[in-house]
Amino acid sequence: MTLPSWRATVPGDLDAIARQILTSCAISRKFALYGTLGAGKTALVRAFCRQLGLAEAEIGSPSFALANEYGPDPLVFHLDLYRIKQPQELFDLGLERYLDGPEYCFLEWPELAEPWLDGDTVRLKLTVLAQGERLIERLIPDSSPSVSSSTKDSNG
Amino acid sequence: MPDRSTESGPVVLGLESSCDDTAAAVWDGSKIRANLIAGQAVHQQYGGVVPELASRDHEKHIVPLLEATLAASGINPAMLDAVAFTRGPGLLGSLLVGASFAKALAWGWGLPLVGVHHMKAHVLAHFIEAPFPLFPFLCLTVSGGHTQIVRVDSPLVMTVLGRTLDDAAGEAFDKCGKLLGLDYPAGPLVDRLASQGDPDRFAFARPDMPGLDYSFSGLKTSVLYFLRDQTRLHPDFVSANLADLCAGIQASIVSILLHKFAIAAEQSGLEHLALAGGVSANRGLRQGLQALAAQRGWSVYLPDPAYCTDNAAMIARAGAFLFQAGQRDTHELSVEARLAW
Repeated sequence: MTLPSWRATVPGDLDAIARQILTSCAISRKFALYGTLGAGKTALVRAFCRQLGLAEAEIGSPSFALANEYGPDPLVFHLDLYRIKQPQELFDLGLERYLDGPEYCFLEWPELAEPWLDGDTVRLKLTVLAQGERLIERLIPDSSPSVSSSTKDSNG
Repeated sequence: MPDRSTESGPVVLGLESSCDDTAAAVWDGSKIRANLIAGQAVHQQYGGVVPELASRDHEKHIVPLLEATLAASGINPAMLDAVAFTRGPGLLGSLLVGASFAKALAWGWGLPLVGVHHMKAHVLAHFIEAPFPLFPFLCLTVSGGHTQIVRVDSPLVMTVLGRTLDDAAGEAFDKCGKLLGLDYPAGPLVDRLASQGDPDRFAFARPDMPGLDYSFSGLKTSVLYFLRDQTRLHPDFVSANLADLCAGIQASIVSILLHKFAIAAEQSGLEHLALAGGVSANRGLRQGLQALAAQRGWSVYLPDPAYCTDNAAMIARAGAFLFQAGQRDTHELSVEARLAW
């Protein structure tokens, strides 16, 4: 199975890519974003949120807060599991609330949450190609564990 | 219940559970009697019953924490005037634990309930111990999750003048430190190493946003590219230059923070400046602000680090201000992950 990939010269192309992904994955509301520090995960989430019609000003990084909420129309959850060390902490955080509902949920550093993600989750891997250039690939679910371990080993 | 608030201010129990830590504190009307953050030490020292059904972290901590805090404070429930709790912003699940517990206590003890805004409480932490800032003043609240310039006209009237549009300042410290191979959270270690390094040897991007807003993700990316290019040429570049790299990163973050803070002071004409939040413990930031203030003739207020990181003392103190101003919340008051100012 061949899945699409996009090459972005950031930040200009991100909005067009975000629009394409949202259109081609129209039934999906959950997005997992893999990639190293500085790969552009938060920048891509901002582009998704802009495409969903949210005000730019309210979109920030949830690395410390773990979960940000934007909206209300549409209600969007923006999660970042960078600080999470143990799977138990996902339960403490109430991850199911963010993943089980009908809302959009964008999840950065999703490696530890793998068991929580269902087959409809859109998995995107961001790679730094050169300064200001990123590769954004859609992953098939089965390939994600190997991706997750390689990014986590070198950067997590 | 007799109102003692006219004598020395209300006696308030504060509960904080907006993010990682569960914390409780007692303000006795003029000072903090106890200020505890849940952890193994509390459990070991005071024991306490962990509710059998409690599964999530805050739920496990909150009962023994309350018992320990009351014991340490020497205040019994009959002496309290109100129960204050963090209403938001924060993680919904975490906030709910503190709010539900506060409501149960207030109902059980027959006390008024006061919901507190976590970020306003960070600012009001300045009124726990003298010297107190004079109104109106400007407060730069910097932590792992927040970066805000706030104009403070009174304990109840605050206006956000600027904020980060992406990463928070504390996050910039932690993530740049991570790129250097330091353990998360790297902020305190970057601070320590920076004091031994040359801040002028390496320059990193200092993104400038319109108005009084901040952006730190460009700095992080600039550090990322620089390290990648350098380690390609010299594999041990980071270890050989660690102190200078930390000093350069810290100088960039402090410069970005103080640049906008100084503009805010000039524009508003305010001459009393305060720091709040966990990153206000950073020595580079403290020294930088003091040097700038000495130049311009501004007064600077730096709170005790114990009241800078997330804590319940600031919730109890803020709750006392709000109680005195007449705030009484009902049990219908809901927590809000995004609480408006």
